[in-house]
Amino acid sequence: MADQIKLTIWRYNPDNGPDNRPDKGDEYRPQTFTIPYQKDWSILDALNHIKAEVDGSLSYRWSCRMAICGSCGMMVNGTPRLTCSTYLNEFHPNEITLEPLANFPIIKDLVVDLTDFMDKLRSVKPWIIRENKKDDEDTSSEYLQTPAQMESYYQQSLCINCTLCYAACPAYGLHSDFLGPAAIALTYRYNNDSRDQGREDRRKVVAAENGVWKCPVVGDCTEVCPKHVDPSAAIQRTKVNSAVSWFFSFLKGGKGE
Amino acid sequence: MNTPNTSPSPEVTRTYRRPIPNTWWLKQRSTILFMIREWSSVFVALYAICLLGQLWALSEGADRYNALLARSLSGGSLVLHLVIGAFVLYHMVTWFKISGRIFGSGPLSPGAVTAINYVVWIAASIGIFYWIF
Repeated sequence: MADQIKLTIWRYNPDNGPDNRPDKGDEYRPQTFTIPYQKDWSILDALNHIKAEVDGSLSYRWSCRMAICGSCGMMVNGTPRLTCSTYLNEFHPNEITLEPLANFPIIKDLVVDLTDFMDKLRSVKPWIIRENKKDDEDTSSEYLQTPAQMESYYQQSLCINCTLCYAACPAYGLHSDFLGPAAIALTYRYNNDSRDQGREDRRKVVAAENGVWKCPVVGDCTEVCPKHVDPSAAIQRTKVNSAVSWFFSFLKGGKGE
Repeated sequence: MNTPNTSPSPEVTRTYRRPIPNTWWLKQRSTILFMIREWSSVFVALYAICLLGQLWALSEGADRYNALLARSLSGGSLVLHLVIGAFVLYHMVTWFKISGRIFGSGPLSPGAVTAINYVVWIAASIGIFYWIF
Protein backbone atom coordinates (compact mmCIF):
# COMPACT_ATOMS: atom_id res chain seq x y z
CA MET A 1 0.00 0.00 0.00
CA ALA A 2 1.34 3.42 -0.96
CA ASP A 3 2.41 5.78 1.77
CA GLN A 4 -0.41 8.03 2.94
CA ILE A 5 -0.91 11.17 4.99
CA LYS A 6 -3.90 12.48 6.94
CA LEU A 7 -5.15 16.04 6.58
CA THR A 8 -7.78 17.24 9.01
CA ILE A 9 -9.50 20.29 7.56
CA TRP A 10 -11.83 22.51 9.55
CA ARG A 11 -14.80 23.23 7.34
CA TYR A 12 -17.62 25.72 7.48
CA ASN A 13 -20.69 25.83 5.30
CA PRO A 14 -22.93 28.84 5.88
CA ASP A 15 -25.86 27.12 4.18
CA ASN A 16 -26.00 24.05 6.41
CA GLY A 17 -26.64 23.40 10.04
CA PRO A 18 -29.46 21.90 12.07
CA ASP A 19 -30.26 25.19 13.76
CA ASN A 20 -29.21 27.31 10.81
CA ARG A 21 -27.15 29.40 13.20
CA PRO A 22 -23.75 29.96 11.64
CA ASP A 23 -23.06 32.62 14.27
CA LYS A 24 -23.08 29.78 16.80
CA GLY A 25 -20.64 27.76 14.75
CA ASP A 26 -23.07 24.95 14.01
CA GLU A 27 -21.35 23.95 10.86
CA TYR A 28 -17.74 24.59 11.79
CA ARG A 29 -16.38 21.08 12.03
CA PRO A 30 -13.27 19.03 11.22
CA GLN A 31 -13.16 16.56 8.33
CA THR A 32 -10.24 14.17 7.88
CA PHE A 33 -8.95 13.21 4.44
CA THR A 34 -6.42 10.42 3.91
CA ILE A 35 -4.53 10.95 0.68
CA PRO A 36 -1.41 9.54 -1.03
CA TYR A 37 1.80 11.01 0.36
CA GLN A 38 4.09 12.66 -2.16
CA LYS A 39 7.23 14.02 -0.54
CA ASP A 40 7.53 16.90 -3.02
CA TRP A 41 3.94 18.06 -2.56
CA SER A 42 3.16 21.31 -0.83
CA ILE A 43 0.05 21.44 1.34
CA LEU A 44 -1.56 23.41 -1.48
CA ASP A 45 -0.84 20.51 -3.85
CA ALA A 46 -2.55 18.20 -1.35
CA LEU A 47 -5.60 20.50 -1.21
CA ASN A 48 -5.75 20.60 -5.01
CA HIS A 49 -5.63 16.79 -4.99
CA ILE A 50 -8.53 16.62 -2.52
CA LYS A 51 -10.59 19.10 -4.55
CA ALA A 52 -9.91 17.30 -7.85
CA GLU A 53 -10.15 13.69 -6.67
CA VAL A 54 -12.02 13.49 -3.36
CA ASP A 55 -14.33 16.39 -2.56
CA GLY A 56 -15.00 19.13 -5.11
CA SER A 57 -16.90 21.22 -2.57
CA LEU A 58 -13.76 22.12 -0.59
CA SER A 59 -13.15 25.88 -0.79
CA TYR A 60 -9.82 27.69 -0.39
CA ARG A 61 -7.88 30.52 -2.02
CA TRP A 62 -4.73 30.16 -4.07
CA SER A 63 -3.10 31.59 -7.15
CA CYS A 64 0.63 31.86 -7.85
CA ARG A 65 2.04 28.76 -6.07
CA MET A 66 5.33 30.59 -5.51
CA ALA A 67 4.78 32.53 -2.26
CA ILE A 68 4.30 35.91 -3.88
CA CYS A 69 0.53 36.40 -4.27
CA GLY A 70 -0.20 35.83 -0.59
CA SER A 71 -3.53 34.08 -1.24
CA CYS A 72 -3.07 30.64 0.27
CA GLY A 73 -2.43 31.49 3.91
CA MET A 74 -3.98 29.08 6.42
CA MET A 75 -3.44 27.87 9.96
CA VAL A 76 -1.18 24.83 9.62
CA ASN A 77 -1.14 22.94 12.92
CA GLY A 78 -2.09 26.20 14.61
CA THR A 79 0.50 28.44 12.93
CA PRO A 80 -0.24 30.83 10.04
CA ARG A 81 1.69 29.62 6.97
CA LEU A 82 1.55 29.98 3.20
CA THR A 83 0.45 26.52 2.09
CA CYS A 84 2.20 26.77 -1.29
CA SER A 85 5.57 26.94 0.45
CA THR A 86 4.85 24.51 3.28
CA TYR A 87 5.57 20.92 2.33
CA LEU A 88 4.06 17.62 3.43
CA ASN A 89 7.52 16.21 4.16
CA GLU A 90 7.83 18.65 7.07
CA PHE A 91 5.04 16.76 8.86
CA HIS A 92 4.91 13.22 7.45
CA PRO A 93 4.15 10.68 8.92
CA ASN A 94 2.22 12.88 11.35
CA GLU A 95 -1.19 14.34 10.64
CA ILE A 96 -1.68 17.92 9.45
CA THR A 97 -4.52 20.09 10.73
CA LEU A 98 -5.66 22.98 8.54
CA GLU A 99 -7.89 25.82 9.68
CA PRO A 100 -8.85 29.12 8.07
CA LEU A 101 -6.62 32.04 9.06
CA ALA A 102 -7.34 32.94 12.68
CA ASN A 103 -8.92 36.27 13.70
CA PHE A 104 -10.90 36.67 10.46
CA PRO A 105 -14.57 35.77 9.86
CA ILE A 106 -14.95 32.60 7.78
CA ILE A 107 -16.91 32.78 4.54
CA LYS A 108 -16.62 29.09 3.64
CA ASP A 109 -14.21 26.30 4.60
CA LEU A 110 -10.71 27.83 4.38
CA VAL A 111 -11.83 31.13 2.82
CA VAL A 112 -11.90 34.13 5.14
CA ASP A 113 -13.38 37.61 4.79
CA LEU A 114 -10.51 40.08 4.29
CA THR A 115 -12.68 43.19 3.87
CA ASP A 116 -11.60 44.59 7.23
CA PHE A 117 -7.93 44.25 6.29
CA MET A 118 -8.52 45.89 2.91
CA ASP A 119 -10.29 48.83 4.59
CA LYS A 120 -7.39 49.28 7.00
CA LEU A 121 -4.81 48.98 4.25
CA ARG A 122 -6.56 51.71 2.27
CA SER A 123 -6.81 53.96 5.34
CA VAL A 124 -3.00 54.29 5.60
CA LYS A 125 -2.67 55.33 1.93
CA PRO A 126 0.00 52.80 0.98
CA TRP A 127 1.26 54.65 -2.04
CA ILE A 128 3.69 57.52 -2.68
CA ILE A 129 2.07 60.87 -1.95
CA ARG A 130 3.52 64.05 -3.44
CA GLU A 131 1.82 66.98 -1.75
CA ASN A 132 4.21 69.87 -2.14
CA LYS A 133 4.84 69.52 -5.80
CA LYS A 134 6.74 72.56 -7.03
CA ASP A 135 5.49 74.31 -10.12
CA ASP A 136 8.75 73.71 -11.91
CA GLU A 137 9.11 70.10 -10.73
CA ASP A 138 10.00 67.83 -13.60
CA THR A 139 7.52 64.97 -13.26
CA SER A 140 8.67 63.29 -16.46
CA SER A 141 11.93 62.06 -14.94
CA GLU A 142 12.69 59.62 -12.14
CA TYR A 143 12.88 60.60 -8.48
CA LEU A 144 16.40 59.42 -7.78
CA GLN A 145 17.31 57.63 -4.55
CA THR A 146 20.60 56.62 -3.06
CA PRO A 147 21.06 52.96 -2.09
CA ALA A 148 20.99 54.06 1.58
CA GLN A 149 17.65 55.82 1.07
CA MET A 150 16.19 52.71 -0.50
CA GLU A 151 17.63 50.51 2.22
CA SER A 152 15.68 52.45 4.86
CA TYR A 153 12.34 51.07 3.64
CA TYR A 154 13.26 48.06 1.48
CA GLN A 155 12.54 45.39 4.09
CA GLN A 156 8.98 46.63 4.67
CA SER A 157 8.38 46.95 0.92
CA LEU A 158 8.53 43.15 0.65
CA CYS A 159 5.06 42.78 2.23
CA ILE A 160 2.71 40.72 0.05
CA ASN A 161 -0.47 41.39 2.07
CA CYS A 162 -0.89 37.71 2.91
CA THR A 163 -2.36 38.64 6.35
CA LEU A 164 -0.49 35.87 8.17
CA CYS A 165 0.61 38.57 10.62
CA TYR A 166 -3.03 39.42 11.40
CA ALA A 167 -3.77 35.75 12.05
CA ALA A 168 -0.79 35.59 14.43
CA CYS A 169 -1.60 38.83 16.24
CA PRO A 170 -3.53 38.34 19.51
CA ALA A 171 -4.12 42.11 19.72
CA TYR A 172 -6.01 42.03 16.42
CA GLY A 173 -7.92 38.93 17.50
CA LEU A 174 -9.06 40.58 20.72
CA HIS A 175 -9.51 44.12 19.33
CA SER A 176 -10.57 44.03 15.69
CA ASP A 177 -10.33 47.84 15.54
CA PHE A 178 -6.53 47.55 15.78
CA LEU A 179 -4.93 48.76 12.55
CA GLY A 180 -2.72 45.68 12.56
CA PRO A 181 0.84 44.69 11.61
CA ALA A 182 0.89 44.79 7.79
CA ALA A 183 -0.91 48.14 7.47
CA ILE A 184 1.53 49.72 9.95
CA ALA A 185 4.55 48.08 8.29
CA LEU A 186 3.44 49.56 4.97
CA THR A 187 2.94 52.94 6.61
CA TYR A 188 6.54 52.70 7.82
CA ARG A 189 7.62 51.72 4.31
CA TYR A 190 6.07 54.80 2.67
CA ASN A 191 6.90 57.22 5.49
CA ASN A 192 10.57 56.28 5.12
CA ASP A 193 10.60 56.59 1.35
CA SER A 194 12.55 59.73 0.39
CA ARG A 195 10.09 60.35 -2.47
CA ASP A 196 7.05 60.39 -0.21
CA GLN A 197 5.46 63.44 1.46
CA GLY A 198 2.43 61.77 3.02
CA ARG A 199 3.63 61.23 6.60
CA GLU A 200 1.16 63.80 7.98
CA ASP A 201 -1.72 62.20 6.06
CA ARG A 202 -1.02 58.88 7.71
CA ARG A 203 -0.17 60.14 11.19
CA LYS A 204 -3.73 60.49 12.50
CA VAL A 205 -4.51 56.89 11.58
CA VAL A 206 -1.25 55.34 12.72
CA ALA A 207 -0.27 57.40 15.79
CA ALA A 208 -3.66 56.75 17.37
CA GLU A 209 -5.08 54.49 20.05
CA ASN A 210 -6.12 51.93 17.46
CA GLY A 211 -2.88 52.43 15.57
CA VAL A 212 0.57 51.60 16.88
CA TRP A 213 -0.40 52.05 20.55
CA LYS A 214 -2.66 49.01 20.50
CA CYS A 215 0.35 46.75 19.86
CA PRO A 216 1.52 45.02 23.07
CA VAL A 217 4.72 43.72 21.40
CA VAL A 218 4.04 40.01 21.28
CA GLY A 219 6.23 39.73 18.18
CA ASP A 220 4.47 36.77 16.56
CA CYS A 221 3.73 38.87 13.44
CA THR A 222 7.43 38.96 12.70
CA GLU A 223 7.88 35.26 13.44
CA VAL A 224 5.26 34.16 10.88
CA CYS A 225 6.04 36.67 8.10
CA PRO A 226 7.04 34.65 5.01
CA LYS A 227 8.89 37.65 3.55
CA HIS A 228 10.81 38.67 6.71
CA VAL A 229 9.21 42.10 6.75
CA ASP A 230 9.47 42.39 10.55
CA PRO A 231 6.21 44.29 11.19
CA SER A 232 6.88 44.27 14.93
CA ALA A 233 10.03 46.37 14.51
CA ALA A 234 8.18 48.72 12.15
CA ILE A 235 5.44 49.20 14.76
CA GLN A 236 7.87 49.84 17.63
CA ARG A 237 9.93 52.27 15.56
CA THR A 238 6.75 54.08 14.58
CA LYS A 239 5.90 54.35 18.30
CA VAL A 240 9.28 55.97 18.93
CA ASN A 241 8.88 58.35 15.96
CA SER A 242 5.35 59.18 17.08
CA ALA A 243 6.45 59.91 20.66
CA VAL A 244 9.36 62.09 19.50
CA SER A 245 7.06 63.96 17.11
CA TRP A 246 4.53 64.48 19.94
CA PHE A 247 7.28 65.77 22.26
CA PHE A 248 8.56 68.38 19.81
CA SER A 249 5.03 69.44 18.98
CA PHE A 250 4.42 69.86 22.73
CA LEU A 251 7.62 71.93 23.13
CA LYS A 252 6.49 74.23 20.35
CA GLY A 253 3.38 75.01 22.36
CA GLY A 254 0.99 72.78 20.47
CA LYS A 255 -1.34 70.29 22.02
CA GLY A 256 1.21 67.60 21.41
CA GLU A 257 -0.78 66.03 18.63
CA MET B 1 -11.21 58.52 -4.78
CA ASN B 2 -12.55 55.18 -3.67
CA THR B 3 -14.80 55.15 -0.69
CA PRO B 4 -13.80 52.57 1.89
CA ASN B 5 -15.71 49.34 1.79
CA THR B 6 -17.29 48.03 4.89
CA SER B 7 -17.42 44.38 5.80
CA PRO B 8 -20.53 42.68 4.45
CA SER B 9 -23.02 42.16 7.23
CA PRO B 10 -22.76 38.69 8.80
CA GLU B 11 -26.50 38.25 8.20
CA VAL B 12 -25.91 38.58 4.46
CA THR B 13 -22.67 36.67 4.05
CA ARG B 14 -23.35 34.40 7.04
CA THR B 15 -19.71 34.54 7.99
CA TYR B 16 -18.60 32.83 11.16
CA ARG B 17 -16.28 34.46 13.67
CA ARG B 18 -14.61 31.93 15.93
CA PRO B 19 -14.77 32.73 19.63
CA ILE B 20 -11.47 33.35 21.42
CA PRO B 21 -11.27 31.57 24.79
CA ASN B 22 -9.75 33.31 27.80
CA THR B 23 -7.00 30.70 27.70
CA TRP B 24 -5.84 31.77 24.21
CA TRP B 25 -2.42 32.71 25.54
CA LEU B 26 -1.73 29.20 26.86
CA LYS B 27 -1.58 27.66 23.38
CA GLN B 28 1.85 28.94 22.35
CA ARG B 29 5.17 29.40 24.10
CA SER B 30 5.54 32.92 22.67
CA THR B 31 2.22 34.11 24.14
CA ILE B 32 2.92 32.45 27.50
CA LEU B 33 6.25 34.31 27.67
CA PHE B 34 4.45 37.48 26.58
CA MET B 35 1.90 37.18 29.40
CA ILE B 36 4.66 36.55 31.94
CA ARG B 37 6.38 39.70 30.67
CA GLU B 38 3.14 41.69 31.01
CA TRP B 39 2.56 40.44 34.56
CA SER B 40 6.20 41.10 35.47
CA SER B 41 5.28 44.81 35.16
CA VAL B 42 3.38 44.39 38.44
CA PHE B 43 6.60 43.28 40.11
CA VAL B 44 8.50 46.22 38.59
CA ALA B 45 5.88 48.46 40.21
CA LEU B 46 6.33 46.59 43.52
CA TYR B 47 10.06 47.24 43.39
CA ALA B 48 9.36 50.93 42.79
CA ILE B 49 7.06 50.96 45.83
CA CYS B 50 9.79 49.27 47.92
CA LEU B 51 12.26 51.95 46.83
CA LEU B 52 9.83 54.76 47.65
CA GLY B 53 9.25 53.15 51.07
CA GLN B 54 13.00 53.11 51.70
CA LEU B 55 13.34 56.74 50.66
CA TRP B 56 10.47 57.70 52.95
CA ALA B 57 12.07 55.79 55.86
CA LEU B 58 15.39 57.50 55.13
CA SER B 59 13.72 60.90 55.28
CA GLU B 60 12.29 60.01 58.68
CA GLY B 61 15.72 59.43 60.18
CA ALA B 62 18.26 56.71 60.93
CA ASP B 63 16.08 54.80 63.45
CA ARG B 64 13.17 54.42 61.07
CA TYR B 65 15.48 53.38 58.23
CA ASN B 66 17.33 50.80 60.36
CA ALA B 67 14.00 49.38 61.55
CA LEU B 68 12.90 48.97 57.93
CA LEU B 69 16.19 47.27 57.05
CA ALA B 70 15.78 44.87 59.98
CA ARG B 71 12.28 43.95 58.80
CA SER B 72 13.63 43.46 55.27
CA LEU B 73 15.95 40.72 56.50
CA SER B 74 13.14 38.46 57.69
CA GLY B 75 12.66 35.15 55.85
CA GLY B 76 9.35 36.14 54.22
CA SER B 77 10.74 39.45 53.06
CA LEU B 78 13.81 37.80 51.54
CA VAL B 79 11.65 35.29 49.64
CA LEU B 80 9.43 38.13 48.42
CA HIS B 81 12.45 40.08 47.21
CA LEU B 82 13.86 37.04 45.44
CA VAL B 83 10.55 36.52 43.61
CA ILE B 84 10.28 40.21 42.73
CA GLY B 85 13.93 40.24 41.65
CA ALA B 86 13.43 37.25 39.34
CA PHE B 87 10.45 38.88 37.61
CA VAL B 88 12.21 42.25 37.30
CA LEU B 89 15.23 40.49 35.81
CA TYR B 90 12.97 38.71 33.31
CA HIS B 91 11.28 42.02 32.47
CA MET B 92 14.66 43.63 31.88
CA VAL B 93 15.95 40.82 29.68
CA THR B 94 12.85 40.89 27.45
CA TRP B 95 12.99 44.67 27.03
CA PHE B 96 16.69 44.60 26.23
CA LYS B 97 15.83 42.11 23.50
CA ILE B 98 12.97 44.27 22.20
CA SER B 99 15.13 47.40 22.23
CA GLY B 100 17.44 45.59 19.82
CA ARG B 101 14.51 44.99 17.53
CA ILE B 102 13.45 48.65 17.70
CA PHE B 103 16.77 50.41 17.36
CA GLY B 104 18.85 47.74 15.64
CA SER B 105 19.17 48.90 12.07
CA GLY B 106 21.88 50.28 9.82
CA PRO B 107 25.36 49.97 11.30
CA LEU B 108 24.01 48.72 14.64
CA SER B 109 22.57 45.22 14.46
CA PRO B 110 19.76 44.22 16.87
CA GLY B 111 22.26 42.02 18.73
CA ALA B 112 24.68 44.95 19.10
CA VAL B 113 21.95 47.20 20.55
CA THR B 114 20.96 44.50 23.04
CA ALA B 115 24.64 43.97 23.94
CA ILE B 116 25.09 47.73 24.55
CA ASN B 117 22.12 47.59 26.95
CA TYR B 118 23.80 44.80 28.91
CA VAL B 119 27.16 46.62 28.98
CA VAL B 120 25.50 49.83 30.26
CA TRP B 121 23.54 47.83 32.87
CA ILE B 122 26.64 46.02 34.16
CA ALA B 123 28.72 49.24 34.15
CA ALA B 124 25.99 51.14 36.02
CA SER B 125 25.64 48.29 38.55
CA ILE B 126 29.40 48.24 39.21
CA GLY B 127 29.43 52.05 39.48
CA ILE B 128 26.59 52.05 42.02
CA PHE B 129 28.24 49.22 43.98
CA TYR B 130 31.50 51.19 44.32
CA TRP B 131 29.60 54.41 45.08
CA ILE B 132 27.77 52.78 47.99
CA PHE B 133 30.53 50.56 49.34
